[in-house]
Amino acid sequence: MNTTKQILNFIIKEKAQGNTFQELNIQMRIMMKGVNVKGILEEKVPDDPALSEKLKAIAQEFDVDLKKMAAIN
Amino acid sequence: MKNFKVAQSDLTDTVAAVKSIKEQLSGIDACLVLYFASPSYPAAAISKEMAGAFVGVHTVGCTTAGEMGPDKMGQDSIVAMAWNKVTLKDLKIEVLENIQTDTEAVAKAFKSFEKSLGKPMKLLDPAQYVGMVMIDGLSGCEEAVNDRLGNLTNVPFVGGSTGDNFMFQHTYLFVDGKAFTNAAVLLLMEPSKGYAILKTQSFITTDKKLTPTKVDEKRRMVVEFNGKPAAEAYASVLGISVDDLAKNLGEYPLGLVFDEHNFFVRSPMKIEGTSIIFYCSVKEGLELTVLHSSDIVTGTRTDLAETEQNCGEVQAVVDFNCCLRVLELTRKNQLKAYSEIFRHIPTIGFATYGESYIGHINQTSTMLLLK
Repeated sequence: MNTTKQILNFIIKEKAQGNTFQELNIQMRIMMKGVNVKGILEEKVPDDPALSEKLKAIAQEFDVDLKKMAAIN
Repeated sequence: MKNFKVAQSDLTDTVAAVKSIKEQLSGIDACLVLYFASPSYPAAAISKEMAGAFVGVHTVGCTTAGEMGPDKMGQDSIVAMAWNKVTLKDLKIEVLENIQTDTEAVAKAFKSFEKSLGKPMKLLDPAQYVGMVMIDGLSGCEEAVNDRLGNLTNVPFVGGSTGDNFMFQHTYLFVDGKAFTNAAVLLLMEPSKGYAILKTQSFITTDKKLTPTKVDEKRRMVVEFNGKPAAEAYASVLGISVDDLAKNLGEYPLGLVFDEHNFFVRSPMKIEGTSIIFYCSVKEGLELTVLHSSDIVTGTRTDLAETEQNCGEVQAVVDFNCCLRVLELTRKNQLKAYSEIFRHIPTIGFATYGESYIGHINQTSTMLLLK
């Protein structure tokens, strides 16, 4: 799994707080922010530092702490 | 006693119209009267009169580009829905003022909600709570307000942008006797028997794609599609001339497609030079799909029936219906057929300058269904 997909997956899971129905809504919310969510999840979008930065900014907007992801990994 | 009652008046005098609404809504122990009013009524007066007519009840509403009520769809009326106290376990209302400059307006409103709820908005259960949002349709702030709502909570907010009968001068929100512009209103509700949200748009996706490669998001403008001047690329993918595109622009909206069931309509407003202005902002680099229109009445009827089947008895519907859909229904002489879809459920709605659900969208109907 590439880094971008890892970050995106983590944001979706954390924001959804275990609610799988919410995961779909959150994916669509992230898409509305300008991210090709499907492309990343289907690994059609290669790792890209600019995209990772964008996802980190979204994590901050969602109040998702990406440091927890580092701890898990 | 009924849980929801709906009313409509097309009396031109504000005091007389409100008196009629009050009479029609009598006999219900209401906690909320939600109403949508033509901009032909003076804003300050209608808000004051409605609050005066329903003392001790929250009165919340806005101006429209057309109203849908129990009698008819049209313009120059007031439609209202009284919500019995038993329908909501909890109701909180906040006005966001100065939304064009105050980027913290949503956060401030949420702080107020949190203070009275005693828990953070981010931890509220979306199955238990639902939000309604109405935003000044001339503010250009719908994207930002919807984005911030979604950042701070998973509770869904459904609603629309206020209108002014296509005059594009001033729209107003009404809360408890006051009228606001450059504002939005949030209603955070805990429905007693649950709720459902329906987002319906009468389009099917095609295999024609356009990727915005240069945009001016603030102006909702696409400068380039696929690296070419936007109008030229748009016309080219449709196989028509730029002149023909300009004449029939409204027939070719684009969709931000998540999957075949979930897409968000982006409607072009006008060609400006070689650029295209949309009714909502478009993100650079995210592929859009050309949409092909289908029948609004058939599509809405099918989607509403399916939602009712999935969620059981629906007691009331609030319909935020895009003004472009209403124009199409008017052109096709389908206003009556559309309103008859809702004949079996107390329903009010209005013709919006944009719809809200997950984000700011166009040519869509977003509905809150109360169980």
